[in-house]
Amino acid sequence: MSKTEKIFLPEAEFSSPEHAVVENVEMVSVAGVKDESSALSENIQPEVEALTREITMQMDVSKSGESAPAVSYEMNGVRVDVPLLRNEVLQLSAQEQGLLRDTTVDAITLNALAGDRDAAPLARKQAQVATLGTAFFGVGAESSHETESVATPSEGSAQGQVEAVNSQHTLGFTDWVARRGKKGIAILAAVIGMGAMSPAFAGGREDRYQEAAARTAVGVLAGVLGTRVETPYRIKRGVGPIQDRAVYGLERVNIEHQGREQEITLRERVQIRAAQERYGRAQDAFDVKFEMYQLAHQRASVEEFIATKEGARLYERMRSAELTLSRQTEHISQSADDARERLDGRYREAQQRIENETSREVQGVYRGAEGRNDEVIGQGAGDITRAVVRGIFGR
Amino acid sequence: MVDIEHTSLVAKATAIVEGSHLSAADKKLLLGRIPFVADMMLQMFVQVCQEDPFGADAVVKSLKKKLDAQGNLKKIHEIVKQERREVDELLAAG
Repeated sequence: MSKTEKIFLPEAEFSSPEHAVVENVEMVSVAGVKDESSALSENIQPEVEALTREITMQMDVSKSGESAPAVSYEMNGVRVDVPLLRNEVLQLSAQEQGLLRDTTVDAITLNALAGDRDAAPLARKQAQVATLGTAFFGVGAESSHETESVATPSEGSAQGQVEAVNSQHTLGFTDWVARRGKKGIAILAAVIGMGAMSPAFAGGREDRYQEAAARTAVGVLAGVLGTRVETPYRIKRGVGPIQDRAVYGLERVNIEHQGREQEITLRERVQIRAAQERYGRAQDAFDVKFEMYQLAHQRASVEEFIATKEGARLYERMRSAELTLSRQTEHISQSADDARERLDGRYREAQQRIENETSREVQGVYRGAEGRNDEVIGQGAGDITRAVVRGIFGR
Repeated sequence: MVDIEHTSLVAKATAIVEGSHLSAADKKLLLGRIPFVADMMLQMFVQVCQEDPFGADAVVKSLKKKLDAQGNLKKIHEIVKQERREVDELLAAG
């Protein structure tokens, strides 16, 4: 979806709060873009959609009311007339809308993510720096050496400085924005509630708007930080039993594995011993008969005994038993090794299964805890944006 | 009251920037904006710079990255996303 938001406002100064008739403005929701959405943005989508419903307005502008401009819009079914800021044409492209939405979330998220000072000091600092970078960028004041056109009719001290510096041009904020092609940036900066201090917003209603946005941002920050601080405890509480179950499961699998392995080893030993006994019996029979042969034939050698029919039979039987023992031992050991390997495989599978289940459950706990954060963030983002809407449209 | 607080914060932030070892151009980047930055952000700026002597450098670096995008929304979007990813990674690393 790539709708374009157009808000046509007639020529007017902000200080002229007269009202005019409404005609014809096309306005498309800020949340109408999903092409650049991030996971977090998805999380706050319901909030954004709710916000969209709230700020979807039918705006009309009087072409005849140049000296007495006003705009009328509907919010929550109520038609409201509000004074206009000044002549401007804001056209938010899909990309700008996406940026507006994502940056709104991002800036707050940066703070939220790094809210736990002790747990992640580097992340917190990085988030602060990034936020400050956006804040300084977002003011759009573009210090005097960067632009010639950021003046304001305000007489406030800070704004006065800029006015003095840029006295040759007294363009308004939106003029400057249009000229610089940064309307989206300026708006997002305003929405974030920290870059809303553009000099063009000085004085009058915009001051209140800035203050409201900033106050809301502070409140959101506090809320998010609070939730963030609470989160580790919630996670710990949820993860504890899961870890216990995992440890118990792993121990059980381990014990079972050890038992099975001992069983295999025992069976292997029994089988080898049986084979050895068979060989031992053949050897014993040979030895007995050989001794008897020696009794009958003084100084007879083994070779002489083997040369006899009985000796040859017993020797062959012993040799055969020896070969059998060797083959059987090898076979038994191989079978035992195979059994051990299968057992290890099952053991690893069981371990992996437990780890996977544990991981899933722990992630569930984290998601639950983070979901609470996202809820607060989403709510905060909505609060800020509503504050901006109130500021811009006088509500 | 609000004005006094803002003025005080502006003075503090200005002093920090002027006392920093930033280049003249970088100082100008910050000094031109400080009066218009929201109080809460100024407070954060002062805090960051007091905690870390290179805080101002980091802020300037982040600001310049966004300025270098020359108003290209797509680029700025990417920068913001990248910053979030960096924070995510640091957070994951604890």
